[in-house]
Amino acid sequence: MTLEDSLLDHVIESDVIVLGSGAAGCGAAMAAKSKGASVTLIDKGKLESSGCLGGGHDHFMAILHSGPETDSTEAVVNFYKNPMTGLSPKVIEEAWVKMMPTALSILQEVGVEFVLNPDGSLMRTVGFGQPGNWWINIKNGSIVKRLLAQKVRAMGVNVVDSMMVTKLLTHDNQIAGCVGFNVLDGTFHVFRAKKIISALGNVSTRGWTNSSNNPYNAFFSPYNTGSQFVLPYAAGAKILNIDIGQTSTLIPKGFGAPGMNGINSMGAHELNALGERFMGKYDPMMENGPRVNQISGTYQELVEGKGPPFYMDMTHFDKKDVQHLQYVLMPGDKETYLDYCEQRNIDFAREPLEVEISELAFGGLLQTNDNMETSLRGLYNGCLFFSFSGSICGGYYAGLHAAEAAGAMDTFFDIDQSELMAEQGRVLRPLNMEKGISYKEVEGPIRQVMNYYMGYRRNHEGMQTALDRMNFIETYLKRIKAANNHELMKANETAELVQIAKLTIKACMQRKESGRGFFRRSDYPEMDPGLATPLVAWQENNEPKFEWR
Amino acid sequence: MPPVIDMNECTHCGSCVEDCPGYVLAMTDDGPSVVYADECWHCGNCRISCPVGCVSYEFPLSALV
Repeated sequence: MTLEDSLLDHVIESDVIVLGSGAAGCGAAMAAKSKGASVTLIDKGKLESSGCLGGGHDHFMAILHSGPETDSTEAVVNFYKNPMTGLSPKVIEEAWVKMMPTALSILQEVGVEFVLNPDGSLMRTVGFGQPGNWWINIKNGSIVKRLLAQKVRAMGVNVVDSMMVTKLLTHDNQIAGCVGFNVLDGTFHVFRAKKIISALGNVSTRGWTNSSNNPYNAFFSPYNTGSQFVLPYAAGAKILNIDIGQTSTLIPKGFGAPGMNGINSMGAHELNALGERFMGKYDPMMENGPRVNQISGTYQELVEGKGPPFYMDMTHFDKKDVQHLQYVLMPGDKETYLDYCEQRNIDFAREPLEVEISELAFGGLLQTNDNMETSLRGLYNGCLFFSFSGSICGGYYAGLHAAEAAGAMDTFFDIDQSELMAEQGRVLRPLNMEKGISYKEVEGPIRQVMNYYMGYRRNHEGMQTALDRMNFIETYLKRIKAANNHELMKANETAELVQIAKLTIKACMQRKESGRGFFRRSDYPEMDPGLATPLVAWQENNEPKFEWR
Repeated sequence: MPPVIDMNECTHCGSCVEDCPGYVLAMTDDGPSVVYADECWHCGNCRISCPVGCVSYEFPLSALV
């Protein structure tokens, strides 16, 4: 059997393929399946534990129309329709808000339990800068993903775990399928689909580190290294805000975890090393303004020498509230939170929690129309919105539309066999090298460059230097040798990281202003009102193109 | 920051290995083993999946300073 024959023998065909089995992927797969489509759900990890939801999540944003103006569709649309987000009012309403009842119903059906007030109503809290208490608190947050996974499997979705997808296949500028390899056995696989939904998240990690210097100790899943941007970009799709999409947060010192939402919203005071509550200088809403302001403010204090250390002070909380926060909510966001607290001797009620500014993460958004279809026909984006709620709702909406569109197609598109052979050779090459270097010798320097030149303060010269260094690093990719399948996965992740780092640096050089993202440019310290618009990035003839939308 | 598995309690069921999202754990003849300790992000999935509660976590010094 020739290599080519073996590839064609193993083609899996589905009406809809969903890439990424996190919250958005689960939503997309369930929706497409409910519409009668055959669905294959692919993830590099495993359905029961993949994505940011894998280790748990403690809150879910939902509008309940309970009476106040802030508990309404209009309030959510108004909050998120800022042109900088790239989201239209219609898509916010249709694909997120209107999907909330469906998502809540699914969560209740699978056994997710919500925290109740003494009167039996849902306990709800306020999130970063938001006008209403939109966040329902989850009691059994650590097992949410497993509960969802049971339903996805029971619905008959074809779940393909441990598959790293490395390339989207196209035919006449329409999506035709994808290829990838099994990270456990190194086998190469071909998938054909009428429609594909990218549900790989809006954030990827391992480009920077926090003070622990461990790239896996990240506040988002460290196993996402940029495929949600690299794959669609290479296939011709347009990506928004790859420049200001970079994100970060405050984390407990040395512990990669989300969770400031609950701490801030319950009234914590952020203090600098002098014991001053300083956020009033940077945001009229203090700690509860947009997250970007808290990071910018904290970093400014750091630059001025007023920290580190920084603290979140919760010692003034009601005893019951602080107990609930530390021992119920926080472990829901990350299951090992209390182990960290115990080993670091942390007690929110007794003394302030030391925090630090986290590592940066790559970010951006696949541009879509209001049906969630990207600029590459047949490719949908299931990750248009924010958090667990936005992910599962947006994924669900993308699943409905992708399934409907797939239902209108009679056949699959042809796949270029020579393209398959080339990709197989590229992807498996590290395994076939007789000698070479470890992926670690390449991945580490990527972070070295990003930490040093692409941190919270930047300038053109630094970014140009970063790009030059990243191009140099890229020349080392072909020297990586993988000693086993795990290292093969890491080698391909390293290649992804180089691509997303290069694109991010180039995008950041376009935006000659400061203040819209988590970083600032010392050469353009002011905000430019003329740049109040998303940056669109795409590829033509192997060259990046940028345009202000 | 890898998990610590109490091998006196472990039944070798493999649930922790199965549910680790980063393939940090692997099953050996002697039971589950932490193979890629520095790639663990202490998500807790291995403990959630353990039916006998024999997984704990010991944070490295870099998370405690």
